[in-house]
Amino acid sequence: MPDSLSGDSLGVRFEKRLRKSESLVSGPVIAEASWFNWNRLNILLLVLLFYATVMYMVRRTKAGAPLRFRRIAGIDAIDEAIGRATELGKPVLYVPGTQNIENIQTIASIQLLTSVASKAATYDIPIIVPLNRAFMVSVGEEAVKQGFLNAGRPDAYMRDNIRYLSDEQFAFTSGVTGIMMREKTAAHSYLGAFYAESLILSETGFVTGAIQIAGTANTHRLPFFVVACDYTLIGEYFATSALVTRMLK
Amino acid sequence: MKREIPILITLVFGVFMIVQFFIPHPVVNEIANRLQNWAIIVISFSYVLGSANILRINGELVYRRGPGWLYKLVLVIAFFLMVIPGMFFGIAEGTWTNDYLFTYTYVPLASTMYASLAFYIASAAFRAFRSKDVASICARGYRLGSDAWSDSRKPVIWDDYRRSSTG
Repeated sequence: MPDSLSGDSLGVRFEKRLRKSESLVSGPVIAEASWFNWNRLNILLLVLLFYATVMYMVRRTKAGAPLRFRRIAGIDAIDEAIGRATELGKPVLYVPGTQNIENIQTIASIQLLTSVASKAATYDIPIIVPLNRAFMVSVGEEAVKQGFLNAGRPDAYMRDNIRYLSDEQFAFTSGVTGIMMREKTAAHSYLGAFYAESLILSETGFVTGAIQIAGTANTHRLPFFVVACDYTLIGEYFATSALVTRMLK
Repeated sequence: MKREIPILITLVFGVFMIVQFFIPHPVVNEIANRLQNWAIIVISFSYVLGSANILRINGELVYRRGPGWLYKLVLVIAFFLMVIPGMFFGIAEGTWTNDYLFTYTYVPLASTMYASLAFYIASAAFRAFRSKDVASICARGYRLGSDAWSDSRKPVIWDDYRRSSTG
């Protein structure tokens, strides 16, 4: 008769099964903390492989191997946009995304910011950088200052144009659209991580008639940028940052 | 030296944070947790910098009645309106700051901004789907066709509702 029908309690049933088992009783053991999580070995191997590939390519480039980059229309458009802003005598607006500095898209965008600031300094055009994170204030200031230094125009650097607006998504969005409408910025760059604010920003920019360049790795935001902007970098601005800043040299 | 030391500190802590991902030992975890707490403290100081940035730029414009100074004044007043009660009454749920300033004031304003996205989508869609060339006509035709096909395979919601309401 099965245990479930015999009316035995749970304790009695467990004891019966224990008697049937033939395993040896072992002594007390002390658990030791592990020094390596073997379940993550595959991740470690991939990380090492990626690191080795990057180091190999960097060494190869330093040794003089030619690097081939295909032309990206968005990069050429940066010059065009700054040129147009110069003609109109209006500022350039650069939005480095809405995420903090630990986001890889923001890091790539900050490298591009230095390059764009350098070009703006060359043409003697102010560049406005609205920021969505308080932590980005010092990073943004340094990037723009470096760009103006690279262009040989440190005197033209205006600290007040690096503006922290708000950490809140839509407070930031309304702040940026306000800058667009009031200051009539002539060239807009949206490069970084964007979410729901992407269409509000780019459509407002379209209404003001500014030339707009966008780039993000958030694929769900790309259609909005494609519709509303003149040029869209489809995740390739990571390569763009290397190309523009010539980091590999 | 001024450049190398910060880079060295970043390198050491960066590598440690990568390595600790693979080491489950409590000692390493404890150090990693402590480092993360330090990072939170450093980030909290950045809000002081951010606040100073807001007040410096906007306060100066308000003081010398620069262009758009009224908007800046609204921003400065809103800034103090949020910060001062937050400092004195706290920001926990149930406090005046959280309930009246954040939940009943800021959240509806942000929601309105989000809702306005519908108008932006409409204007962008109008431009995107305008039949200006063969490609856009094909894209629109495909979209309409695929929508009609997928709708024909969906159950009719109203019938479901009527069935469920009548039992």
